[in-house]
Amino acid sequence: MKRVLLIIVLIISFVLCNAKDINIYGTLDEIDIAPYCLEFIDKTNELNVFEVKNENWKELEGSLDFGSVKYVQWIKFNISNNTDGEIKKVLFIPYNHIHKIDLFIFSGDSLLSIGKQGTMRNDSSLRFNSGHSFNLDLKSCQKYTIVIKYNHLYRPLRASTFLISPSRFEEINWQNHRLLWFWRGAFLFAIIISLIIYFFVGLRLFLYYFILNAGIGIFMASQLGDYFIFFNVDSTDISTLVEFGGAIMVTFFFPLFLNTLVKIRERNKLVWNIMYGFIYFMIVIFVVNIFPQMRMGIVQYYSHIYIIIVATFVFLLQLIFLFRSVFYKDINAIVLFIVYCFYVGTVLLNITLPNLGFMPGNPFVYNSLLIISLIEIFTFMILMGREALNVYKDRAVLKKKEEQHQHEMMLSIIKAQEEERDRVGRTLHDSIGGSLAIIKQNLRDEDKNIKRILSKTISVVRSLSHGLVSPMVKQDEFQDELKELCYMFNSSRLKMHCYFNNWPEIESEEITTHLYRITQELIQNALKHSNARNVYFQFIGEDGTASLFYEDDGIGFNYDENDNKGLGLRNIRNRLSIMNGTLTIDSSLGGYGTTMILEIKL
Amino acid sequence: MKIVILDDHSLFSQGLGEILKDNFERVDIVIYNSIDELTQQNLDYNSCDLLISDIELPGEDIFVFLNYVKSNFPKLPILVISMHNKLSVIRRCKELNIEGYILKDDHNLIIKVVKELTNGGEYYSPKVLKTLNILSIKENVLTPKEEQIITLVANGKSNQEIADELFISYNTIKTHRKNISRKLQVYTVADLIKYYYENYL
Repeated sequence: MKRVLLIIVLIISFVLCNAKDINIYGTLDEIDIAPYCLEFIDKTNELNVFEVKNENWKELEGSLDFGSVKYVQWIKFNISNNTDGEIKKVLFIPYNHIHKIDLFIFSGDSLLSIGKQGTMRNDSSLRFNSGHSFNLDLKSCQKYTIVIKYNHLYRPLRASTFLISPSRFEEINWQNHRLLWFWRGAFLFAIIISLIIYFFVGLRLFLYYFILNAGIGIFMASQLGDYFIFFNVDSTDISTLVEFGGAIMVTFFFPLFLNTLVKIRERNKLVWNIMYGFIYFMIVIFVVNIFPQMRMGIVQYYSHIYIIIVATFVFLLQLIFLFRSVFYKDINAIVLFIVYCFYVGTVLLNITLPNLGFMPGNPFVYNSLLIISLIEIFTFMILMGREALNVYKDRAVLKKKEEQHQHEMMLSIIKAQEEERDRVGRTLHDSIGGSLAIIKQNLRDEDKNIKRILSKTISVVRSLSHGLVSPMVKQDEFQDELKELCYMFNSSRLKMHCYFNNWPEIESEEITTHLYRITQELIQNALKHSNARNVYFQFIGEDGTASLFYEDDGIGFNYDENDNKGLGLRNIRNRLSIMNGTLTIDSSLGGYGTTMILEIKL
Repeated sequence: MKIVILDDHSLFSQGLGEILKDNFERVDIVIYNSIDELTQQNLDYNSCDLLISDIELPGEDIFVFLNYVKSNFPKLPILVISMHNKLSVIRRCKELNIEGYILKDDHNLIIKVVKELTNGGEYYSPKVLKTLNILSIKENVLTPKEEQIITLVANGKSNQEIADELFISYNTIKTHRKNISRKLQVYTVADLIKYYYENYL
């Protein structure tokens, strides 16, 4: 696997690496010394630095290296200072997650100093440097040999190594540091906000965004060595697993997240499914790596390579998906494609091309990643905000439609009820009533008993049909009809009053019919429940509103109790809501009577 | 004597015809089921002595027809026999100067009313008259509750005090007062008090 990869890399890369001495003139602030390095793999894992020093060193194959498989890796640089003065330099290895680094500085055959760093050493300097740095004092006209022993627990490693002047190192290190903390703040803000929004809005988009960014955070934290800061223990072992987890979260949720903004899945079904096949296998690999016996071995190395390849494949595929979606005239796709191109371009310029040797490397390789991560956070936030707004608008429209639908339903129910009542009432009245009248007419005088029963039946039929037949009150008949309706119920027990004032001509027969039915219902309620001696109906019109005042001097009722129980009141409410009317009820169980005010806008 | 019966229920019109034939001598009964049928047959209104009509004929406006007959042949008496004891209908008949209005179950009145009308008289059955009486009912402008409210207003009570006293909510009191103003065409408290003193003291 490693060989295949290296061959690919070599084919692409045509930069020749000459293992020559590095001459320090003191002019350059920053030199990538990876091309000058020599490599030795200790297959016994037992050699010490003096034995190694005289072994057969080879040139590093290409400038990109995934490090040793299961052996300790040794790297050697020859540095000479040809100037007159002493030069101070910082040797910087920009990766935090190296398990153990031993650095030996030789002048000729004599060992000048030893530096020991790495996560195993619980080195506090790591917390600020996001890498490993060693100070070098290079005396004038001297040749030095620097031997570095890497023990990185099967974790693939790039052998990037830089020589930087102390002032420049200090400056960039602090810049880097500030950027890092700013990124952490923005990042935390973004994920917390997206999680909160998810809980309130319930859109998957925000959940995906949260998991995606949490994955990026976990991955970055593992790369940057945040675990040392937070837990203050060596966590190299676990951090590999955490890095896998982060990478898988990102790879798994990135397409899902994009899919909520742009219809990727729908447009690339087959490729999408194949892609997720590979991603699911990543999860299997993660599970295998949970077991320490597996992780601390060759499995981890190949897992690393698999994850890197699949992640790269997935990310490049998203670029193609987005590019295809641009042709669907999808605004989200266009914005995402531009941001994404920017992202890929940055990665290309800062990581891929230097790794392949086309460009000088950057010792602070994470800076560009952090900046692009910030851009990503803010762009996606804007897109998500837009999406959430759209959803809210849609919801409002939907709600309105639903209300309208409900209104129509109620309307049709009442209409059907009215028609049915009307049909039954009319049949009763016209056919049965009429026929009964004729039968009664033709009875002989002897059948007095039958005649009496028949009279009773006829009056029952009439009063029944009277209540049933839809009044379909025409505007000029409204007052007559309503007055008749009210006074029909006059009795010695109950006195009805009906008063019209400035009543407008209501053209809609629907409204007059509703008002008729409402009055009927109010009278029924008064008769059944109120114990009132007087009932007052006032029909008052003014300025495009028609009001019906109902008053009685009965026992009253507790309005809240009857809110949903009384069918009559519900019927009134339904009819009023159809007419966009309002109902005010003022009553209590105290014998102070009931007042109801119904108002409709015409 | 020629009597025209216009009714869509043939059972009723034929029954009525039988009754009339039994009770009157030399009576000629012509039955139509609809106004359409009647106009198509070119009925000579002048030869008729009485038109008995239902008030509800499906799909046709009976009042237009009655109005036409009344204005062209004022001498022809019309008797409306209807199931409807409806104020609006009765009032319109009254306004058209229709001579008779009885209900379909006023069977014992039919002979009497036909005699009355053919002799140039008028007859509305007692039940019909009772309904027509509704028109003469006069209601007070203010309901007792409203009277209570303006009494309290005149006594210098605020809306809140009135609400507490009458066990009605504050908003209802406001609506009541608005309504009182509308009905009395009185829009200031001073005018309201004036109205109270003029009418209630």
